[in-house]
Amino acid sequence: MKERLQFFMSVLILIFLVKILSACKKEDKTTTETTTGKIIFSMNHQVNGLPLKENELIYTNEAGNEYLISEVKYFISDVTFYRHDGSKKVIGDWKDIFYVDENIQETKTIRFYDKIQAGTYDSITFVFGISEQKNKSFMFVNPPEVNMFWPEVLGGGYHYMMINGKWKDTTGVTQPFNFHLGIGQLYQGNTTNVDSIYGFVQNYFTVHLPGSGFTMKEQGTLTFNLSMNIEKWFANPQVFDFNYWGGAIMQNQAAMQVIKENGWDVFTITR
Amino acid sequence: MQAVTTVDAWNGGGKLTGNLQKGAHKFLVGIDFEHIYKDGDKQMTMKMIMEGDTFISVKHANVWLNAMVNNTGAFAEYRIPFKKLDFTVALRLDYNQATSEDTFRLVKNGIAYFDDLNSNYINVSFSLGMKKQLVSWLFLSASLGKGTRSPSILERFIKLMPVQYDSYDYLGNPQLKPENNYQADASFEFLEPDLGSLSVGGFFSLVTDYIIGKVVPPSVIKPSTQGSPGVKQFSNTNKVYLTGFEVSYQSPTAKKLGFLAQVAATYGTQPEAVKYLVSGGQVIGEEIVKNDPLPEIPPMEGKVKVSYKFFSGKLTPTVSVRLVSEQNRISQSYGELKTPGFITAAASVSYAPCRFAFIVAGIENIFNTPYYEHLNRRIVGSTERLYEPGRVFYFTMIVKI
Repeated sequence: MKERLQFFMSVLILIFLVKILSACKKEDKTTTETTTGKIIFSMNHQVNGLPLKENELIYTNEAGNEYLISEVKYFISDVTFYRHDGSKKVIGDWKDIFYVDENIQETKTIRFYDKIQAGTYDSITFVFGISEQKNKSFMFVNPPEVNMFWPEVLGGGYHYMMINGKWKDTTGVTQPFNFHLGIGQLYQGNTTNVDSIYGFVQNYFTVHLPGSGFTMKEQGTLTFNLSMNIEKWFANPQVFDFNYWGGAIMQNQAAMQVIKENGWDVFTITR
Repeated sequence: MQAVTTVDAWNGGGKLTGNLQKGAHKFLVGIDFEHIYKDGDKQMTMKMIMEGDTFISVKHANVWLNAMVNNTGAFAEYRIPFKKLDFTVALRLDYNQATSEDTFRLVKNGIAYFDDLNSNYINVSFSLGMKKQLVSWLFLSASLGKGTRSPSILERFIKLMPVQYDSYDYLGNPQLKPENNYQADASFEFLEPDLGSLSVGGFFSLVTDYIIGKVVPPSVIKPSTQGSPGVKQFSNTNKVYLTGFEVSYQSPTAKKLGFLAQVAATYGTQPEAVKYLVSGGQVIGEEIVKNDPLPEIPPMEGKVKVSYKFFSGKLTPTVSVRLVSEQNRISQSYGELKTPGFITAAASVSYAPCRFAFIVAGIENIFNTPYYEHLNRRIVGSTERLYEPGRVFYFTMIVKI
């Protein structure tokens, strides 16, 4: 009996020690990725080719409105790099939606987490705003992004853009404007009563950046200057006149359609 | 933005044990059962005043949906005197079942973060211990064991609530595997009736499939609690090591002057962990950290307590001092913060006028020291820690009927 007991205990101890030793064996080290590089976007905001000066009534748009800008904030998402071989890299390994705010310095430098394969790239695109699939209410709970909330009854999700400021109307009085872009609504009749909404319009759009081709070297870091040329929101192909559209357009799909159509050449990219 | 969460929770169970003794042989068997159920809903409300109009948006999301865990266990312990040694052999079997009626699914880029909701495990745990009296005043104890712990209902099914010590929202993982703890420990106990008892012990353990929160990219899921910096999901990590010691001295209880001193510490290490690199508030990359300390391990702590029995123990004043060292062994991968050390003192007087009544009055944190424990939660939305109460006066009276 005692011998059996001794044998049983020896086996148990042996199993235990083997388990510990097998778990302690060394594993292969993770290899460092050396065939990739990193990309940084440095965001800036300009009017007529010069850096934006906030809260100064010094600008005039295509429609002849004198205006000032006090806030510029917006989302870009799904930044895509198109390789020369036809493949593409959509940014999203860590983050896929980026908030930019003229008044929050750290949002103006976007350091992509994604590793970009070395090679030749033909172009860069991004979505201005957030796609329908991703733009869900309550997905941001912290400032500053949460402050871009777009009411559920008006389509939900978040503003794509808020440019706030003032313009001088036809009587010479300075009026506030909220040049906002988000999900538009379709109303029955000539009202903007929320009970008469029968449909929504997605106003996000893809921005193609001419001259954005580049070559990524192994372990290289490329910094691009991505400029929003604010005056272009008010011109080409349509002239946006504050005296016609007024200062509040969140419930005016026709006005937001003009902004959406004008957005195609608002951004330029340089290195 | 406002959020209100309501949860229904139910926890019940039972245990049945039996003892058998023949001579010096002692046999204990038993079964137990535990049932845990949780169901809850979070309502988020956003009120906005824009362009003169007030808009109220509401979202409902469940944090649990009829989530259940049942655990049925059977255990046995056998104490055997064997060649001047006392051996103890113990075995435990568990059948652990978990399910949820959750409709939430999270599968992205081929990774199933939250998908198959059912999991059943059969867990085997055992231990082998021995105790030997080396001389009349010295005892040696040692044991080896394997313990298996199934993931809790929270670790499996919670959805986006800040349930740990940091401010992150946590996401359960229905396909978590049980943790296995292989442990060895040994202790010496010196027992001398006139001098008291001194105990010195240490342990080493290897834990495989250790359950820990790992950050999930915001492109996969975002937090739903205001102030939360992101989402962590409970995940199995390959293996971790834990080691520690405890030393305690207790003066003879028969003497009027009582003295107790204790010191204990635990150290944990992850051989490999992922640390995210942050620049300008953005995660820009990651690196492997070797031998990263395990998070949420309390620092070394000591306690000294002195008391004196008056009137045959009817009146006993006690003074105690708690000394906690700073915790500098913090996990880089977990984003843990250092915690400064502190010393607090307490005093009390107990009085037992008769065997039916017992009165205690005392002061905790006599010097009103500002301090917080390493495991205190952070204030949501900041890296600030929650402080412990300052000076506290208390009075307790127990009447036995």
